[in-house]
Amino acid sequence: MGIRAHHSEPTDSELLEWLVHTLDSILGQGPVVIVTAIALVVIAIPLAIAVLALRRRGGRQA
Amino acid sequence: MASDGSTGGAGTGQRSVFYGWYIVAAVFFMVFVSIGFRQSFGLFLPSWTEEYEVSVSFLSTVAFVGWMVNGVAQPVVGGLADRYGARVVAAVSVAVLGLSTIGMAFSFNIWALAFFYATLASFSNAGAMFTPLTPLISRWFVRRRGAALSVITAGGSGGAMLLIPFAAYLLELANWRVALGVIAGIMLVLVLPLVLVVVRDRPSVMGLRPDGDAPTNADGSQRTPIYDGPLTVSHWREAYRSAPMWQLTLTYVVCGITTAVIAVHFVSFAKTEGINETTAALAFGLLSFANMASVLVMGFFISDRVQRKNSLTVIYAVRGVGFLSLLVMPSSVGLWVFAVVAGSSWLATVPQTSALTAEVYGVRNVGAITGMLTMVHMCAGAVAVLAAGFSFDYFGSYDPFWLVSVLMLGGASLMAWTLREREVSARYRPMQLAEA
Repeated sequence: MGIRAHHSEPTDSELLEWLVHTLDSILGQGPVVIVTAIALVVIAIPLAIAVLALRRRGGRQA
Repeated sequence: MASDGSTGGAGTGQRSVFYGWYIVAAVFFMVFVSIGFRQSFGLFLPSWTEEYEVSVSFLSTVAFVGWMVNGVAQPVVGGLADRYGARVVAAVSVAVLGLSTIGMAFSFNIWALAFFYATLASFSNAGAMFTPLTPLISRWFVRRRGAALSVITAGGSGGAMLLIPFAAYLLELANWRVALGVIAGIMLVLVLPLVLVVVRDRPSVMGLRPDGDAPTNADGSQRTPIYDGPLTVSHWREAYRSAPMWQLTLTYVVCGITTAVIAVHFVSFAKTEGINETTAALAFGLLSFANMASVLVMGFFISDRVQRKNSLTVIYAVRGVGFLSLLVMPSSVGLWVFAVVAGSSWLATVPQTSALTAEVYGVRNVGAITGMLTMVHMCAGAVAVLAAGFSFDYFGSYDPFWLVSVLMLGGASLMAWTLREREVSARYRPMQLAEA
């Protein structure tokens, strides 16, 4: 949904504006719902990785 | 994440996921956040132009300086990762990136904001992206190196896909200062602890072997990790005395030119061809999907099974076909063909080039060497963006630049094909040397 830059090229602002409108029309949800949903995903990913990695390390030591 | 089917040194006889894949997952998330943040810069432009009453061209200059600083930082962070380990470099980089993002959020004049973005955030961002991760992953993976590097590369695509909308909606809900504060919080509260808790610089510190191999061979002899290539160097400068470094550099220059020009000029190109913005944006969505899919498919099913130079040959040739479609097809069709064809080659060069560099020049200096390659890639891209603009102003069309791109990509494909990988890569001339 954005230009795939290799390293650090900023994405075009007009495209980003279009992206928000498109997501609004597709999802039909308000910004609070979408921000909450993405925030939960963003929090869940590192927590899951850390828990699984620590369990794996604990399993090795046992 | 995938199981390699080994016990990963657990010694329990149970099948378990090799710990290296947890490290891949952790740095995937780091790249996911750092690139997602980096690419959301454009979102903040309208807020900044309004609040600080500055022109878009001024902010574009700030972005350009940040781009160059990020490029110059690559060999520095790569060299630091070689010397002190990727874990500390990544952790410090994420911490500085988070703090400089807070600095941006609290900036009450444009110069302070420009300083934080173009210097501290841009420099530290380099340490939270691909360059310092090449030595890390190269130590944890030998046989599955291409696959592991590909997963991390895909993290960049995923971050942009999720965090750009996230930042956009935060802007809609609150304001740019809150949005930057949340991004900084993600870095400092989620990414930094994750890196510190999960990442370890080499498998030996956990009593493991690369790829989760058993410590001994079937005959009971000690198995030693293969970290050095036939052209292993003791200093990154020595790499420039051999042909592969120049071949990789020149192909990466072409890569930088062709990706940067599209990143910056594609919307403008679409408009000059009478294509509306929505169609152009949809084409980019398709390009993103093709890119992420191709990186993962190539990483898991092709990269570690064929010569990497053959993969690069095909990738550059495919991208050349994509650019050719912009020249020879009607724009309305060429746009979509380009999105699929060139999109599938977009990020695929990164893991292939990084893995090949480690296998040719060894792991000890691979951070600095890939950093040099990345710096050249980015600087070439920055210059090409300006050149494409001048070319358009002079010719009134992007066609001359697309033609040059096709020719350059053909040359890059040929250049990659002539690389004598079987003679210079550790994959084909294994040497049993001590661990790096």
